[in-house]
Amino acid sequence: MSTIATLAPQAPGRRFSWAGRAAVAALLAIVVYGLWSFSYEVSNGLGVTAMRNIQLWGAYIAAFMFFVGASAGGMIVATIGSIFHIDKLEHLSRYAIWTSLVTITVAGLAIFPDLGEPQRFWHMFVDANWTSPMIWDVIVVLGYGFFNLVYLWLHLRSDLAARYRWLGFTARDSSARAERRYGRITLGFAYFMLPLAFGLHSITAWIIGTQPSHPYWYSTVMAPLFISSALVSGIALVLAVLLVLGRLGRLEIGADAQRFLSGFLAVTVAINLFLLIAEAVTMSTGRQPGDWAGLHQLLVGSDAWLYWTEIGTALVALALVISPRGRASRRFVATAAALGLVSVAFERIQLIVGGLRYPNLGYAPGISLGTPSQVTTSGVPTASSFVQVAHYAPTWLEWSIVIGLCALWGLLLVLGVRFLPLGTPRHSGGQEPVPLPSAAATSPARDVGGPVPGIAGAGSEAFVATPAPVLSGADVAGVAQSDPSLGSRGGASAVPPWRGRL
Amino acid sequence: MKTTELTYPANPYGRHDEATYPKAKWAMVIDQDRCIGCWSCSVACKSNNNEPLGLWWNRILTVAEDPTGLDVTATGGIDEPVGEYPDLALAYLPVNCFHCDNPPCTQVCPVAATYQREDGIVMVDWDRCIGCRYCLIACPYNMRVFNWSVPEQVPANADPANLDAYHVGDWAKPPRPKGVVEKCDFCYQRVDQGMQPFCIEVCPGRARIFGDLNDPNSEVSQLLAHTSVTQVRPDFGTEPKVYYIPPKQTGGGARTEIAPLFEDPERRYLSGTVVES
Repeated sequence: MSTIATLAPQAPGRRFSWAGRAAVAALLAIVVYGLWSFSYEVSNGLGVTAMRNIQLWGAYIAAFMFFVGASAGGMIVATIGSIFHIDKLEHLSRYAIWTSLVTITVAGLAIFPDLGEPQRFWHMFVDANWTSPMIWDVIVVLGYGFFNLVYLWLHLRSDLAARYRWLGFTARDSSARAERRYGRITLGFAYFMLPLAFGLHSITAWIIGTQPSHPYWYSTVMAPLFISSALVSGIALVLAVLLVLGRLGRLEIGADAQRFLSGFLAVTVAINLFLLIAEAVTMSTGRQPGDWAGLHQLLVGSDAWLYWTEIGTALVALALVISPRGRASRRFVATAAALGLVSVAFERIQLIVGGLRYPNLGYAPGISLGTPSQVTTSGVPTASSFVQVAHYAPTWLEWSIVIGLCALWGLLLVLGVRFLPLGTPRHSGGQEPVPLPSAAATSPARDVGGPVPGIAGAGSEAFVATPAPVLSGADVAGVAQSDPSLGSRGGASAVPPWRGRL
Repeated sequence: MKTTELTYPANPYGRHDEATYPKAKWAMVIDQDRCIGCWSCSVACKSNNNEPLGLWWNRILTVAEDPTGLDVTATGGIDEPVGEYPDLALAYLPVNCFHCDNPPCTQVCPVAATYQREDGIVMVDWDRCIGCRYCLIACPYNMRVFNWSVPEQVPANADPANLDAYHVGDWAKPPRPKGVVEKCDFCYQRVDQGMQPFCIEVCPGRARIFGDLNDPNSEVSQLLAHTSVTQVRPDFGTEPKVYYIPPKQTGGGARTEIAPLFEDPERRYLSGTVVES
């Protein structure tokens, strides 16, 4: 038993449940609040943030790097399933691609609040300076976002055309032959998307990794570290999304996929920790000014709480999924995924804050902050406009914009899960979904997309070693027996009907 | 001595690539033994260039412990001598943009809003800057400053809608829009007119010398040839064009033989032979 076919409770025209509507309304409200915060920042300048001439970048760049990493990691999860013929991931790849697309969209938007003159962004396209890593990052983010969309469309093509005819464009043909042809194109595209995802986060790492002015950043480990942390956050994010959707009854991860993904998570967390240790060891023997100061602030100084939270959460996550028992437990895996996300988020913040803590010329009085000195009415100065060491804590406005971006991420994700045929297996051959007897009996209101025998076998021979099996009651029972940790949600028939709607 | 009629660009904060002396390579030498730490140059710079409150293009750092600036943790107080009484030493490090020969800031600017003129002056185009602050990240010396909020001037601009109406310092340096980067530009409007940058003119200790590196007879070329000069943190490979005569190395007498030859009583105009295009 290798694969559990997915549930696809997504008939066109189905409406949101009341809980789903409330969630969408809440997310929308937070997005609007984030937009208002952004407009407030645009009209008042970046002075409303806690960034100043010494702390040049802050929460926005950290959020950008976090989202970019999670998107790249999600895409890597989605493509390795195709490239290495990992059938157990096949039914999850659409969710992974959609998560990745939503995440890169939010990442691209996270740049705008960081710009002093966001309305001049178009200069990037007409006055591009090709020696700037930032131009290459803009190109790779836009290109990756675009090709991510194409890749998603290739995956969804026939199902999309069945639901929204115009979205099939000129490729609405859902015959077995067309499926085979597009299957090959999709597989070829995976070979393109995987290196692109690596390139995406490497170039993002090189934005800071190519700056000798900041000894903490100027390190060869930066790109590998960004890739390893991207994998941690990407796998953790995809796992979290899948587990939440599983909890809501939208899909079934399957025991094999859960084991595989959480094992992959454990490996990448370990690699990430290894690279962090390698960097710390190198810094401890550094002769560059700032190396020792940087390590000191990291281990026992003002950034220590960020650093040790990052290390601690990664260690706990690793411990949770390092054993087969842990990987089989849904609760352990969910906790490990959450901790992995927290660890990478702290890594990003720690990197941005730590790299900017000490200026290279730290002599008194220091760097002019960019805001006037604070003086009481009697003329007593309370805060100098010069500073020698950065102390950064984001303002409420920065938090508002970052939370708004997160809400936008959630909103886009929910809308996609609701309106896109993400749950339908790729090899359904575009046929009308065949209701599963057991599921139909439990929940008659829901269509269950399952592969049609014969067509699935014929259409997937080129790129799937084992055709996706038809979900039957016996299979479900077998899984439930072989893996008791999956509990009552081990099979389609066990999903309570009230959980079927988002 | 040469004075050129200056033609200002139509847009005072736009690009100004054209130099009056394109074959020149402007540089600055600062004699640390002659700097008394009075901040006259900083204040003059601030007023001439209409720098907003909280932004300084030109600062006087008090050197603590390590005169090479290699130890980032050595951060004493302002005007604070180092050493044990009675063996105290006090030295200042006046800093402004080094106008590096190999500037990292112009390499990273995604829109080429910061660029180097033919005569080596590193400029910022306030019309194009998108405010990403990548150049501030790239500058190893933190010489660049950013307009975080709407620039606040004292005295305030009477007509905030019309930035060009502001005439306190140099009229070609109007208040900037918020969200753009600014920094020392060697007072390029004055230089193009055959004048010294304002900090040179006002320095009471005559610690600052400005001139053309391509002219072997200029004061900076002579100083570079005849005294031992250092640069701040040249290990970044930026080749800064602001040179320092370090304190206590020559007893403060390094310049006495050379300087008077070049001195213009007002120190207002560029001296030596300026190579014309």
